[in-house]
Amino acid sequence: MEVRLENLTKVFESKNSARTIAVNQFNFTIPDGKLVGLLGPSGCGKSTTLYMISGLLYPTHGRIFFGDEDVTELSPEQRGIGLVFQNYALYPHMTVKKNILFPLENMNLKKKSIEDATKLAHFAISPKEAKVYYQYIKESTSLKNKYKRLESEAKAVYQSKLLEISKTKKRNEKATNSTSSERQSFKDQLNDFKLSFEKEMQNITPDKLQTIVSKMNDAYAAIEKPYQNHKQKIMMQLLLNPIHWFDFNHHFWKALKPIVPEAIKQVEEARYKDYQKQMHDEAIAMAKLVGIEDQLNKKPAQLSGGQQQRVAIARALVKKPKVLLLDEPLSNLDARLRLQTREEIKRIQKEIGITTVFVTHDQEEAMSISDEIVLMNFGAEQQKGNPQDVYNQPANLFVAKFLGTPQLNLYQGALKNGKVMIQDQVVFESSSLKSKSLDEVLIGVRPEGYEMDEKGTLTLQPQFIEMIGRDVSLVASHPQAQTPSIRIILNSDDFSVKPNQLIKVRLKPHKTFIFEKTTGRRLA
Amino acid sequence: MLDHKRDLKAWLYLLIPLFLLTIFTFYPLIKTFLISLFSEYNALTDDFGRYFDLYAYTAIFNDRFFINALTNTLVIVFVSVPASTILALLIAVSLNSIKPLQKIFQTIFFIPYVTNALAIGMVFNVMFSHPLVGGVAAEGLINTLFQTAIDWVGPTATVERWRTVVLIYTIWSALPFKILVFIGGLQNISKQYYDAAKIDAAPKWKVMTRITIPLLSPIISYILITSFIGSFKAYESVLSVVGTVGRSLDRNRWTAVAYVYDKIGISGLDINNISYYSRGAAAAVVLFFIIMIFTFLNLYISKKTVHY
Repeated sequence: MEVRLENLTKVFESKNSARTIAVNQFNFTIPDGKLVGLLGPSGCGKSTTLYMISGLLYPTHGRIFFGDEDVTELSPEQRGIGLVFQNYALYPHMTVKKNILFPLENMNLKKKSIEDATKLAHFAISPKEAKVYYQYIKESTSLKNKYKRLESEAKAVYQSKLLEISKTKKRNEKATNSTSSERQSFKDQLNDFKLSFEKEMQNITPDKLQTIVSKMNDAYAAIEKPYQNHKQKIMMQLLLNPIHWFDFNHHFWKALKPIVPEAIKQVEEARYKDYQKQMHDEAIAMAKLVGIEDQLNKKPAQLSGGQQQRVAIARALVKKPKVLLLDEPLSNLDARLRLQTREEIKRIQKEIGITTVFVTHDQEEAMSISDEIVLMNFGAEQQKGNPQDVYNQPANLFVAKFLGTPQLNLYQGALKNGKVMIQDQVVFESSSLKSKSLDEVLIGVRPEGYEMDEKGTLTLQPQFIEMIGRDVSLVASHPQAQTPSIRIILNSDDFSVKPNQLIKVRLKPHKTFIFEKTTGRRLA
Repeated sequence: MLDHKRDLKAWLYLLIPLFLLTIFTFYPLIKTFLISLFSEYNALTDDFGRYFDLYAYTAIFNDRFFINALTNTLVIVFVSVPASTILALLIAVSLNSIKPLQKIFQTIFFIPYVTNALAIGMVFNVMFSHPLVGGVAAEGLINTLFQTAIDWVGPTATVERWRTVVLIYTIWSALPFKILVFIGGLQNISKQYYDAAKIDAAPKWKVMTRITIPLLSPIISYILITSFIGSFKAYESVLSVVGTVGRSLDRNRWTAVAYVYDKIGISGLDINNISYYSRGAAAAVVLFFIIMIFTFLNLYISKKTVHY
C-alpha cells in the first residue's frame, strides 16, 4: 500500500504558548512495498512524522493517505499499521507467544471472516442485488469519511480563528470578528455539510434499496431454511452425547459439512472454524519468520536485545498490517547485532513485501537497507531519493555533511569567473558555474575524493595516519579547512606519505561539491 | 576476617531494635500464648494457676458472642477489603487519565486519610442517627435526605442496617490510602505499553484487564495483604460508628478485637473456674492464627498470579 503525506505539519504548543514546529509542510509519497528510511539528526521531526503516520499523534495540518483512503482522522487501531517502538515496548508480563498473539486477539477474526464469507455468498446467490447493495455500502462509507474529513478541517479552521481572536483581544485591539459570529458561521458550515451529505447520500442510494436488501436476504434465507432444520437436529444429537461437549464446534462442523448447501458453505465454515488454532498457527508462523520459534514460552526479560527486537517485529507483523513502521529499531543493540538485525529486517521486509518506514539518525544504517531515503532537518525535507544518488549528488550543505563517514571535508574558497579557488589556486572548474563570481564559497570534498599528484593544486600538511581495521586514512590539516583536521581515505599505493612532509593532491571532480556559504545551497 | 568484623558491626546495630522487639513484641506474644493455655490465670496477681489446658479455647468457642464477633469481623474483611480495593483501583485509573484538576481531586480523595478515624466515625454516627423518641431530637442527615425514619446505628438497629453503615464507613475510610498508592503505581507504568496497546487495537476494557492490572499486580497484592490484616483487627471503626450510649459497644456488635478488649477488662474466674483474662488471650491467639494462615494464603496466591 502506498502511503502519501500531504503538507504534513505538526506544531507542539506548550503552556507558556511557546510554539515548536516539529514538522513543517512535509510532502512525501512512500511507494508500495518499498522500505523508506527517514533520516536526520535528533529533533528533526522524523519520529514525529512516523508517529503521525501511525496515528499516535495527530497532525496540526495536512493529510495522510493510505492508498486512496484518507486516514488522517483514523485512530491507530483503525489504520491497520504495525509499529516497532524504539525500546520495543513488549508487555513484560506476557510470554513471547502471548505478546505475539495479543494483536490477533483484538482483531475479532471470526466476525470479519463471517462478514467476508457472507458477502461472497450474497454475490453467488443473487449477483444483481449484491452488486448494487455492496456498491452502495462502499460509496456511502467513503462519503461518510469525506464529510468527516471536511468537518474536521472546518473545525481546525474555526479553532485557529478563535485563537486569533483571543490573541487580538489580549493585545487590546478591536477584533474584526467576534467569537459568537465565528461560532455561528461554523455552525452554519456544519449544517451545510449535513445538508449536502444527505443530498449526496440520496444520490448514491439506489431506488428501492429496501426491496433489494430484502430480496437478497430472502434468497439467502431460502437456501438456508431447509438446512437450518437439519442443523438443529444435529445439534440436539451432539449435545446428548457428552463426548462432543469438549471441542463442540469441531464435531458440529464435521457433522454439518456433508449437508450444508454449497452456496453458504463458506459462511458456515467461518462460523465454526477454530480461531484459537488459527491464531496460534499464525503466531507460530510469524515467530518462525523472525527466527524466535524456540523462545515462545519465555518472558521478554529473559531474552537478549536482539531477540526482543525480533519479538517486537513479529508482534507488529502478525496482524498483517498494510504499513510497517520502525522507530529507531536498532539503537538499543550492540554494533555487531545491529549489522545482523538490519539485514534481517531487510530480508523480512522483502519476504512479505510490506511498505515500510524506518526512522533512524544513523546514516549508514539508513543507506544500507533503504530503497529510498528522506533526509530531514528542522522539520522539513532536505532531499529524498535513492541512497546512493543522494550521497553522490547532495542538494545542499546539510545533506552533504550528514551523509558519509568520515565526514565531508570543507574548505573556504572563492569563486572567480566559474573557477573555484583555494588560496589563489584553481582546484575545481565546472561549466555549470558559468562565469559566476562569489567571494565566499565552501568547497566540500568527500574523503575518498583526493588523488595524490605531484602537480596537484592543493597542498596539505599531514599529521598522522589512522588505521581502523581495513580502513587507512590520513589525517591532515589545511589553513583554509573549516575543521582543524581533515580526513582522507588512502589507496594502498599512497602509503609513502610521511608526517611533516607536505603533500600535493588533486580533487576528483565528482567527489567535490561547491556550496554558497551563507545559505548552504549547492552551486556545483 | 573482614567479613566477620562487618557482621559483628551489623549485629551491634541490630541489637537495639532486637532488644526493643524482644521486650515489646516477643515477650507479650509468648506471654499471651501462655496465658491462653493456663485457664486459671489471675491477672491481678500475675499467677498462672494450676492448670495447663485448653479450657479457655473451648470456653470461647462455646461463647455465642465470640462466634458472633468472628462473623462480624469476617463480614468486614471479606466485603470491605475487596470492595474498597476495586473502587480505589477504578478511581485511581480514572484520576490518572484526566489531566486538568487531577491534583485537586487527588487532594479531595486524600482528605479522609489525614482526619482522625474516631472523629469521622462519630460524624457518621450523627449522620445516620435516629431519635428513639419521636420529636425530641431531629433525624440525622441520611434520614432527612431520604425522607425515612430508620434506625441505622442506634440500639434498635437491625444487624443488616448497622453492618451496612459500618461497611460504608470502612470502605470509604480505606479508599484514600489505596488510591494514593495505586496512582503512584499507575504513574510508574510506562506510557509506551499503552501506545503499543493502541497499535495492537486493544479495546479499553482489555487494556485494563490485560495490561494495567497485571502491571499493577505487585501493588495490588501488597494493598490486599496489608488491608486484609488491618481489617481483621477492626475495632475503632465499629466502636465509633455504631457504639451506643457511653461509647460502649453492644455485645452483638463486637468484632474479634472488641471481644478481646471486653474479656481482659474483667478480672477473676467464672463459675467453671476459667479466667476471663485467659479467654481474652485465647481469642487473641485465635485471631493471630487466622491472620497468619490468611496471610500465607495470600502470599501463596500472589506468588502464582503476580507479575514482578
